Amino acid sequence: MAHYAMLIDASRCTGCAACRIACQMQWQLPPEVFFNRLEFREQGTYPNVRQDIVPVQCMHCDNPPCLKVCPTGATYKRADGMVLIDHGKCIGCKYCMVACPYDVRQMNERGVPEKCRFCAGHVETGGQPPCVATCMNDVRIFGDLDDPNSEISKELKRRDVFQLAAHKGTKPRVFYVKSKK
Amino acid sequence: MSRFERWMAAPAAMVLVGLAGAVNKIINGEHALGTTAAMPWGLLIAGYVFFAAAATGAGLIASLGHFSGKPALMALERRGMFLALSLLIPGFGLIGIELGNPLNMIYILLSPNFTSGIWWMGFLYSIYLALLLIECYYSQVNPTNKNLKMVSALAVLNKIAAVCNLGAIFALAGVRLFWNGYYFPIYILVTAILSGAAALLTASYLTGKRAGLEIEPAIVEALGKIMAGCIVIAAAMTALKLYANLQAAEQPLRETAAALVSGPLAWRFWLGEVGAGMLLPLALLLIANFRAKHTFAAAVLILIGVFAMRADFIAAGQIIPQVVVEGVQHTAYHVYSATWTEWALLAGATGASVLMYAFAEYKFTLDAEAADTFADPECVADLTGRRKLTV
Ligand code: SF4
Repeated sequence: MAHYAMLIDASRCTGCAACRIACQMQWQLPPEVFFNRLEFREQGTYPNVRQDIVPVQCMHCDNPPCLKVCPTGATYKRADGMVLIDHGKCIGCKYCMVACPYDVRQMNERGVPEKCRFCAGHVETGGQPPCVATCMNDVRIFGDLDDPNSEISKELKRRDVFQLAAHKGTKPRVFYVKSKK
Repeated sequence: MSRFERWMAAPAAMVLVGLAGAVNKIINGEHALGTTAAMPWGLLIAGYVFFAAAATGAGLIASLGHFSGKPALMALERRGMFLALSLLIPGFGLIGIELGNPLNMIYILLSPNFTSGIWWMGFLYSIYLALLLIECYYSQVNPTNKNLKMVSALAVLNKIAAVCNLGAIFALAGVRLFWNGYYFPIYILVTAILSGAAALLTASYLTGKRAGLEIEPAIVEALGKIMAGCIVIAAAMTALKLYANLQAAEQPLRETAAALVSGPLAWRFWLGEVGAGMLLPLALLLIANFRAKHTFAAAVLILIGVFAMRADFIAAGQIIPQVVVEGVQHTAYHVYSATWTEWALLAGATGASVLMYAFAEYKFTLDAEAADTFADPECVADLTGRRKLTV
């Protein structure tokens, strides 16, 4: 059984938002709905300043608060780690939106609080999520943690990584490379 | 047009406005609301909490009448049950429209997730509705039925569980620090009784007024004392919570408390929650020593104030941006502004509540039997001046 995860090297991001658009194309989303966003952080004091750009999306948490609060079990976690939504079961109460510490859920046209799907249905057949494939700077690496030869497994061993808001106990499956700067 | 029909014209118009809002919500979905991805819960949720909690409060006072043996409260038993029903059903209507499809509420029961507070809310409030219907039915056809005692006892437990769970939905959202902890389940219980008593007094006073008769002073005093007591507890809880949060180590907690005290929520907090919901009614109740007219004015102010409380606490839990990436500077506050659709739906629910209650007053016997309550049958027969009609 695969165990999917993502590694993001935010220091390589130029903020072009191609990942966001590629994802919107993949899932045919309207312009106002997007599954990944960029957060901008100013560092330092004038004149020694820089701007970090941090891509944020659903963390496919191993301890997902959105799943616990969902009244109908519409949000579920697959054995391969993906947190997905059964649209047929969703009643649109928006409790998952309130409970998500990463603010990644967005209401779609049919009243379902949607989010990144880790491109379920596409990656099992060997494909890469478009946010990964389209990025000109290889900011993201997606793969199977159970495969020691996968690029993500090797990079996670080699690099110093962290998770966003890890203190909230969500156990995210999206890892970030620690910045050297 | 009869006097009664004239009285009912305003709530009927409100229902029509509400229907316009409902149609707009059904056609335009989320776009009809002022909610955003950052503030997904708005005025409709506040409205639902207001109606559901007031229904529970009115129901609890009705139960108090059943079990306490106090004549003034016993006289309120049936009126409390019917009023609870008239508040609960429009509340369900609000949440049904917020969900986009009222049938979704039924689906909650068919596909349960027991770790979800909203699932328990659906479950407990469905039971509440069923028990209320049973109680109301028996109160009319067979008030001495011996099973009624058991149903009423069950209903008391159900009401307390339902309203505390309503608070727990927010407390268990986990990541919203302002809502966390044991505070809100208890706070909602206290303010539910407060709004239930205020709604009961308003209803009793107005139905009596319609027939040109005075409400029984013992009832005014009993409800007035309940309201005054709840205001004192709620005020102490609010002051303690805000004081603790303003000193808290966690920045989001300090910022949330500041948003209420001196930020974008301050006008509603001070004017609505504190002024209309606590200080003015308490002054009216105590200065006038529970005189009917003043207690009625206090009850109306309390209803406005408690609605402000609901709107404040729903907004306060979401207004501070969550820190996802350390060091990112967000706008100080998320913005939420209710749309006409949301206000129309609230007006519609209020109108529906008034109409349903007026229908119950007109159609059923809501006054307690004379022998059950006061020693003087004269004063009970015309408790609120309503014509006695039997089913
Ligand atoms: S990031 Fe949010 S939506 Fe995604 S699994 Fe975690 S809690 Fe759920």
